[in-house]
Formats: sequence, C-alpha cells, structure tokens
Amino acid sequence: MKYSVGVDIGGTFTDVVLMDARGAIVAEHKVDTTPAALEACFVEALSRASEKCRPEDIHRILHATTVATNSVLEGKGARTALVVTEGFRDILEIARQRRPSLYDLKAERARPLVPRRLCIEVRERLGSDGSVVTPLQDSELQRIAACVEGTRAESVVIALLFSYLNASHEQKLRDYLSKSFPQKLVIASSDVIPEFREFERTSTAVLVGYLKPIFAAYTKNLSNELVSRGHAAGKLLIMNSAGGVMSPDAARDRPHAIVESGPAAGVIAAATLAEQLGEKNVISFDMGGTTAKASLIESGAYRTTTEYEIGGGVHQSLAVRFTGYPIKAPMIDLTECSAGGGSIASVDDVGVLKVGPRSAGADPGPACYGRGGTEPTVTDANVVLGRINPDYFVGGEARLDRRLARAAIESRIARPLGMTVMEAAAGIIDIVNAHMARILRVVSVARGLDPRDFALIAFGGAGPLHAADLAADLGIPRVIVPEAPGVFSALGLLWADLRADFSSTVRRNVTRDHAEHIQGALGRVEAEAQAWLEREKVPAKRRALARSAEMRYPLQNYEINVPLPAGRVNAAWIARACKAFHAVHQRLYSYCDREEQVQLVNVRVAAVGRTDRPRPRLLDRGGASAQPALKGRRKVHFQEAGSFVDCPVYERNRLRAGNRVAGPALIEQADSTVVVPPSMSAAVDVHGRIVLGLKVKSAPSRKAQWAKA
Amino acid sequence: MGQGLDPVTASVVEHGLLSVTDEMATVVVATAYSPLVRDLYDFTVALCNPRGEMVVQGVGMAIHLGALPSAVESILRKFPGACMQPGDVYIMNDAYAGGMHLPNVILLAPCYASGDLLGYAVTMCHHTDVGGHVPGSVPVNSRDVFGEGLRIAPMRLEHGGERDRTLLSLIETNTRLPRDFFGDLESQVSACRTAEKRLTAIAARYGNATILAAMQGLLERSERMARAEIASLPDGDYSFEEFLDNDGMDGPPQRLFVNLRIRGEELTADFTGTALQVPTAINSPLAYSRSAFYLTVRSIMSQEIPNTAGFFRPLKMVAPEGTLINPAFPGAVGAMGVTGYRLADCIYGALAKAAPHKVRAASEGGTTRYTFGTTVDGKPSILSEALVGAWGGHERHDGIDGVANIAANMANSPVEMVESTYPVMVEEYAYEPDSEGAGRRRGGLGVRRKVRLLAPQGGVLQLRSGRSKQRPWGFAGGEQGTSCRNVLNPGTLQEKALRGLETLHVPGDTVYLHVTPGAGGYGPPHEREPELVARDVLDGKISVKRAREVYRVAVSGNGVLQKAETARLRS
Repeated sequence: MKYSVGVDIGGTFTDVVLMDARGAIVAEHKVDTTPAALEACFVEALSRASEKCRPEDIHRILHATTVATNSVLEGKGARTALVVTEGFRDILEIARQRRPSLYDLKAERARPLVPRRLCIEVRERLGSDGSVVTPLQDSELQRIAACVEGTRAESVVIALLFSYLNASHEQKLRDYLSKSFPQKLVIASSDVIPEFREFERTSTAVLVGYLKPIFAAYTKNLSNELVSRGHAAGKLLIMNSAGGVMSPDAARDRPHAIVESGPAAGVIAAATLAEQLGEKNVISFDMGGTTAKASLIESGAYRTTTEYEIGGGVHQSLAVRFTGYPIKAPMIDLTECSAGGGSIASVDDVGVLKVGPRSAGADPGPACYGRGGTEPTVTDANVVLGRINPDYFVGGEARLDRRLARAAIESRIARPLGMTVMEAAAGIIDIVNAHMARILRVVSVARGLDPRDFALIAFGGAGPLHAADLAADLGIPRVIVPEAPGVFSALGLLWADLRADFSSTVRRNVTRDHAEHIQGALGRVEAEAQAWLEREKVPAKRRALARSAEMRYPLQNYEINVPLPAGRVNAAWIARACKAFHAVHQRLYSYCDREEQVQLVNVRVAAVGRTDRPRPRLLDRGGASAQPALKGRRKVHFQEAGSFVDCPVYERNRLRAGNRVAGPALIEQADSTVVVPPSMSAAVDVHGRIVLGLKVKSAPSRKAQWAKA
Repeated sequence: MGQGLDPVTASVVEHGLLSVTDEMATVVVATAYSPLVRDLYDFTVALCNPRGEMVVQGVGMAIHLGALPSAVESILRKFPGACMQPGDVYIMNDAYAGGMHLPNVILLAPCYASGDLLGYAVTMCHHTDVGGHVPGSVPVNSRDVFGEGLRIAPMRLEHGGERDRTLLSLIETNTRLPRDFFGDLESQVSACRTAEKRLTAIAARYGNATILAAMQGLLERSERMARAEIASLPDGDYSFEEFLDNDGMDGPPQRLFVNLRIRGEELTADFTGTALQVPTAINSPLAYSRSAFYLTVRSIMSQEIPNTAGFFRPLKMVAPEGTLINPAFPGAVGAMGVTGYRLADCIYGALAKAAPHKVRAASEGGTTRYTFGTTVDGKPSILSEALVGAWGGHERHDGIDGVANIAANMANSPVEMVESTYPVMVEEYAYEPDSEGAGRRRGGLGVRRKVRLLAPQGGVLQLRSGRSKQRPWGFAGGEQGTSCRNVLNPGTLQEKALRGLETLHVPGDTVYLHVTPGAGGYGPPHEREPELVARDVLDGKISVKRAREVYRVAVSGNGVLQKAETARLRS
C-alpha cells in the first residue's frame, strides 16, 4: 500500500494526516507546534501519523510551514548585505516612509532586514527607458567586492534602479560577486522579480537573501531527519503561498513564495472539496488556534494577488500598506485576522470587551488547558457554554478543566463588566464572530459579491464551532463541514498541484501597436515556465500553463489581476483582454471607462503540474435517523437562542450517509465539534461531509431582538 | 454604551462602520489617477451621521482631522439633508467656506437605507491642479485666494445620479490636468457609492435605528474617553511660542503662540498673540489650524479613542480672525502647510509642559512640497512630491529617521514611477548624516533628495518648505535638529541657495537639492548610551567627529567603541 503524508505547521497546532492510495484518511493527529524548532514538531507529527506503516510505504511527504514568517518577525534571518544604485543607500530603511498607526507617538519603524552598515552603493545608473546613463566599470566591481568582503554577510542582494528593464548591470555584479565569493549567496533583484517599483522589488529580493539560508538549513534538517528514519530523499514537497507544491530545491530558491503556505493549503483543500461537491461559489473559512482566514472560490477558482506584507497587520485595506515587509509574489488572495481558539478576551480601560489580537498559543494555552494560563480565551468560552466537550478535546488527548475556564471568565470579564459568566462567555463568542464576519465580508461583500450566493466550507479545529452563526449573520445558505475539519489544511497539501509562478513587466497599453511586445513577453515567460516543468520532471500530459496579467487604466497605480485569453496577441485577443478588464473594474469599483486605454503592467504565467484528484471514499448508508450515533445529551448555549438548550450530542464517527440531525444539536469528533443551532439542520452526504442549512424560516435573531428593544 | 445598545451589538456594528471607511480608502487608492492620491495617499475619508457629525474618520492624513466637519457643515447649510435625495453628490473646495487650500476637494454623498437618511460619506483628495497662476495650485507667492485656482462653493455635482455637465465643464477648463482631476474625482465618487452600499447592507441586517444608535454610541464614547484623558492632565496654563522663518517673502519671522488652558475635563487652545495674517500664501485656513490642534491633542491620548467628532467636544479653540491661523477673506492660503505643520509643533511645545512623558521633541517642521510644472509633447506635466523628514526624540524612544510627519502619513513616490512619468531624474534619495538633534534619545535624521529637472525648455519650480532658519527644538536638554536646505545646482559654478518658499522659472537640466531638517533630541546627548552612539557611527548616520564632540563618545572609524577614551571624555 502506498501512502502520502501531509504535515501542516500552524501557530498553535501542527496537523498531520496520512492518506492511502485510494484517497482515504488512514490516520490524523494534532501535536503542539514548537516555535523554537519547527523541525521538532514536524518529526513528531510525522512519526505519530506513520506509526502503522513502513517508511517505504510512504511515497510523498507534503509540508506547509511558518518558518519563513517566523524568521522575519523574530529577526532570525541570514546576515545580508545589499548593493544599491549610488545615491540610494537608504532605499530599504526609508521604505515608503509610512507608519501603521496614525496617532501613535510611540510608533517605531519596522526594523530593516539589512542595517545601513551593510548597504553598499555602486556607481552605475540606468535611465527610465533602460538605457545606460552611467556605465558599470570593472574597477567598480572590484571595489564592491572589497566592500562585500568586509561585511561578513552570508547573503548579498543586488537591487539596482530600472533593473526590471535592463538586467545587465545586476547580472554583471551578480556574476562577479558569485565568482569572488563562491560560499556566499548572491541574489539579483531582476532574477527574483523583474517588476517595476524599486522599493517593493528590493524588499522582495532582500527577503530572498535573508530567508534562503535559513530555509535551506530547515529543508536540509528535514531531509536528514527523513533519511535517518528510513525515508528516501526526494519524497518531500513544500507548499507555496500560491497554492502549489514545489520541490525543496525550488522552494529554497523562492523562500519568499512560501510565507503563507499553511493558509494556502486550506484554500486548496476547500477548492478541491468544492469541485467534488459541484459547488461553484464557496467561501473557505479556516479557524485554528491563532488566526482565522477567509478566501473566496468563485466559479471554481480561487484568486491570487501579489500584494502582501509580512507583519503588515490584517491586509484588508490598501490604506495601511507599506508598514511591514512587502513581498511581490503571487499568493492566494486570503484575508486573515487574529481570531482563533487561543485568542485572549480582555476588558480595556474603558470597559469594552475585546477579543484578540493576543493569543495564548499552545503554551500556556487557554485557561482550561490547566497549563498555567489565567487569561480567558475563545476556547474557554466555548467550554463554559457547553459547546466543547472538556473530555473529548483533540480526541480526548487533552482534558480540559471547565472550572478553570469559568474562573478565568468570571474574574477577568464577568465581574469587571457586571455580567454573569454565561453572558460574558456568549459576549466573547459574539465578538470573535464579529471579527471573523469582517474578514468574510472583506472577501465577499467588499468585492461586490453577495454571500447569499455562496456556500461556506468550514474547517480548522474551531471553524465548525463558529461557522453556523457566521453563516446566519452573512446570510450564507449552506455550511459544509468536511470529514476531518481539524486537519483539512493538511489534506489540502495532499491535493495540491505542483506549481510555480513566473512574471515579467510589460507596462504597455493593450493596443495593436504593442501586440508584438506583449506577445514577446508572454512567450518568454511561458518558455521559462515550461523549462521549470521540465526541471521538475512533470510528464507532458500533466502540464498546464495559466496566463494572467495585472492591468489598470494607465494613470492608476493599482492593478487588477485578470486572466488573459488564449492564443496569439492579435486584434481579437486585445479586444477580449480589454473587455475582461473593464468588466472586473466595473464589478469592483462600480464604474469603468470603456473609452479609456487599458495598460498591461505585468504578465504572469503559473506553471502547473497536475496531481491526481482524490477519489473520496463512500460512507456506508444509513437511514434518515441519526439515532445510532447519539451518545448523550447536554445543556449547550446557542448564540441565536440566547440561552442554554438541552440538546442531543452525536458522535460523528458513527454517523452514516443519509443521516439527518435537526438542531439544536452538537456533532463531536476527534478534531472538532460541529454546532448545529436550533434554526438549522444537518445532513450527512454520501462521502461523509456534513451539510448544514436552514431548517425553517428562522426566528428573529438575538441581535434583531436587541435592536428592537 | 449610548442609546441602550448592548455592548456586543454596538461592537459588531462599530466594526461594520470601521470597515466601511477602510473600504472607501481602498477604493480611492485603487482607482485614483494622480500620483498624489494613489502613491502619496494625500486624501481622507469619513462617515458622518445625519446631523453631519463625523462618526468615523478612516486612516489618512492626521492634519485633515478637523477639516471635514467644517466642510460638511458648510455643504449642509446650503443643502440641508432634508432636501437631498439618493444619488446626490456635493462638492466644494473653498477655503472660505470651511475648506482648506483649493487643491483639497471635498465630496459628500448622502447615504440612504429604505428611503431614510443614514448619514453622509465624505472624501477629500488633494488634486494635483485646480488652476491658478502656478502649476500645482499651491503657489507661495499669491496675494489672495483668487489667484490660487478655481474656488468651488458648496455645489451639487450629481443629482439623482445625473452629473452636472455645466459644473464639470467649468472645472475642465480651469485645471491644467483634467484627466488626473476627473480620474481622482471618479475615485471619490466610487468611494462614496461604496460606503452607501455597505451602510445599506448593515441597515438591512440590524435596522436603521441600530446604526444610528451605534453612531451615537461612538460619539459619546469618544467624548467620554477624551474628557477622562484631559482630566488626567494637571490643570494649568501652558504656553509656547514658535517663529516661522519669515512672512513668506523676505519679511521678518512671524510668531505663532498658544496658551493651553486645562481645566478639569476641558482644554482650550488660545492662539491670541499669533501674528496677523500676511500678504503671501502661508496663511492657514481655520479648518487646517483646527486640524493641527485636534491631531496634536489626539496623539497624546489613548490609541483606543474612536476617531469621531465626539472627541472634539471638550476641545475649545480661540483663534482671532485676521491672524496667520485664521485669515480673513480673501487672504491667500496656497502654502498653508508651512504654518499648519508648525502650529502642530507649537502646540506640542505647550503640551510638553503639561504631559512631558507623552510628547516628542520637534519634528522636521512639516512635509516639503515641491512641484515642477512644464510641458511634455505640448501637454502640461506637473510633478508634485512630498518630502518628509523625521520625528523627534522621546523620553523612551529615539526619533524616527526619514518618516512622514506626525501630522501626515504620506508615502514617497517610487523613483521608477517618477522618472517614467515626468521629465526628471532622481539622483539621490538618502539620509542626511549628522542632521539629528543630539540627545539621550536622539532626533531622527533628515532626508536628501536631489532631482535633475530635464525638460529642455525648463519649467516652474515651486518650493514650499519650513524651518530654513528656525530649527526643530530639542526637549529636556536635547539639542536642536538642523535646518532645511534648498539648493540649485549644488557643487557647480551655478550653485545657488534658495529660500524655503520660492516660485521660480528654471532652465532645462537644472539640479534641485532638498534636504529636510533633522528632528530635535530628547535629554542631554552625553547621557546617551555609548553603544548606541557607536552603532550610529557604524551605520554612517553619525560621524566619528560628531560622536566625540557632541555625544562625548570615542568611536573608531570602523565603529568600534573606545571605552576608556569615552570614560575620559565623559568624566
């Protein structure tokens, strides 16, 4: 039997899942994430999942990790030197000269990844058309090499003005420095991201220099661990932020492209499930221990973006840009907020109840873990409200202490606010739900899309606990809970295609005058993409290239990614491309200008090597009654009821296809709990997924009642 | 919580309102045409309740904080809410009808749900050109507001979704850059429409009454929080004076004066004693001066206070008409930034006496705005850049090097964007070493930007910068920062020092160098930890000589701290 393993390191838990060749889940586990050495939780997760099989039975190990983001936020990257055009020594530190918080006099600037002492100016200059204004002399190469030698840097990044138009100076420096310092890593910005805007390009290239040695060490450690456990090298594949997997070698060259690997895996899982279900429009909702993520799958496809900043706060508004570490790389367009089971609830100086952004993580974790945490969290509220079974958390591996949860909520929230513990706990849930509703709106309503046209796929350990309330709030008609929601992102790893992204700046209006130029750029980038597929040994029949472009009206500064038509660039092609852009602009911003020219800024090509789609297993059929799965009753607080309701509790393992469960009810499973509110009912489909929908016309919600009062 | 909303519903609806302004800002940035708006972020968005009180101001320019209320008031005075209808959009920019300088164009759209007025969406963008005698419409040498561009009184731009073609045509013939203007205007309209859609959606779920109650709750909460903050400051009178370099031409320094009276939970800023208005364009319209007052007080309070008009309620302002900070009609106001930013410094000086732990030493004295107007292929081309300086030292924090002024949060313009759009070449953009005001917590470094103006036929270079003579003050024993410098053709035979405020024709291939001031320091420089001084030397931010002479720290040329020698210097 052949197996695949997916290991997904999150902020709180590391999830692992073992899948057999037929696509069935054989084993799933959650272990605590060990932030100080992520290799440790990777190994722990892998051994837990593969207890029952031999190493040679495992043919693929897929992995998502937070190592890149952690290294940046904790300043643990490689010592990096930066070579810039003369006159622009401070390009990285000055950045875009903005700050995140408008009125905060105590604000500090994000620490530059390369301190000024390691920034070196080189005498050279290109013009805005790419022509050479000041040539790069050989004597200058030697002088720069001497400077670089003095820095004792592990990585050297070269980022010169207008190198996206003419890379010759960067290449000359790169070759000379590589030859002079074979032990150092030398990176040219035009090799990383040959795109317009010097700060963003420099920042991205610096991240590559800063992360690559760390990431190389990390993947090497993982490979060594694998080999020492009897695994052949070459089984390991790494997830990137754009939702594809790549070999460790490829990932090492593009460490900036893997920062959001875990969340991307979740979206891939949701997109795959949506395809199986025939659901065209889906919002994926992933709530773990530390963060919640939302993303949109429309007509079967997720969106990608190239605007991202590490440490830039919730990236939902362009207006807070340029306050973190920008990366220009394609990633799945998702929105995050600091809302998870571990999010801490507190009362601020003026008596307002807050939830997050701080998280109790895995250690000490929520108060109910009994590991010394005294601050109440979302998980504590869920325990107090009866929504989480304290004896069946992570499949009973952790026992939760309800009294500690109560005590924490009572002393920190209920007493200061003069509420009962139950009101306080319900308040915590309402507020964390409000945070999450905001990100769900960011990916839907804020883009002019009506959530009523979407289904919600809820996963992550905490997702199914909160999904029904969120769906009701946004008017989403259906909630789908996959078979193993707690490790669903890890499953997404197993379902992902091999993928890498390539781009080039064009900056030409989409007109017949520029058809040849656009065709040329597309051709080059597609050739690059094909070469990559070749290197990754993807069989021809599994290859696919997806072309898109960032386009805008010529005087705008923010592009919209629009898929490009197939075929050669000719008059008809141009008409189709422009029409597609106008339509997207109209939908996003409520207007478009069909008289105006359209400018194509970057062409992008995603190279994809398709993996087999999983064939979901069939669940044994049962009757409509879920009675055989009933394991007890208890009092549970439902947000919509505003009170405790005595309700049945079912064991998900014992549910059969065709079973129906009417709310109010709970469905418990090892890695999560599905809350079925009184207004909804749940049905189990032939593959074991739970689909929640409105039972009857819903009673007015508690909020609506308040509004009337 | 106000109006009987439970805390949870209030919190949920407040989040909804906040995301409305987030989204408005996103729409403006994503769709605007001019570099000033789309790259530099010189704009502000807000939501008001049906009475016109601002209930959420989105992220944007701090120094726009107090301007929207007076503009909204003046629009509503002429067009009462009851006479408006869905699909209406109103416009104004008049400095003497509650506005600022003329490029700051304000758009207001009423928002309705089920036929009832829920409030107003408001946006203000700094447009690149609204006419007048100098390209860029921020002339420093105008004698009155008539010379500064097109004045738009509150007017209806759209009625029931129909644009007023006459008004558009009038604007079109009065701006040098109609394409930029209308591109930006479209982004403002789109942001207002977006706001209405979102408000309607929130109303559909929670009801109009709940939204209005949440708005009221925000106002009351911010007022209560602001009052508590003021009450925590010691009662007393705290005054400070600052001097502008000159009157905008070659006249003498002009005095800015404030007396802050703190009594219980109210704070009054009395500017009596400030110089009379001048016959140049550096007068600051009342709305702008008020913004400087609001933002300084706001920045020493808790970050948690909602950004609403409720926070203004305990703040009173006495600003005699006919002074620099409240000019009488038709005083010129194009270069109001010079005075407005310095007014913020002046108020900080007074606040430093009341709340020394909360205030920083003086910053660079305000964003420098330079514009270069010329023609390319027969069409007007106007480059307008915002050059920023530095933050001053604070009791516990160093100043920040090269960052947007506290009163602003503008971004710089990417060099690759500037050069591919305008006939210029940026030759240098970097810190100015040794420009910091020395201190235990040093001030931030200023920034140099050197630009070669290539247009063969030359063009109009217009500079608006402050602190050419009056340097940023230090605090608690910290030293002053450097002054600002403007130089033409530096290092050549044609080198020429310029004043901080200039409008001049330059020939093709002229080089312009601007160096922003460094910010003031906090605490005596010889108390600064030697390791920090050595680190700055290593980074080339401070010279060996300056480390030794000013900080009394001995550091070798390669940044190694010489401890024994330092001990001797400091003994």
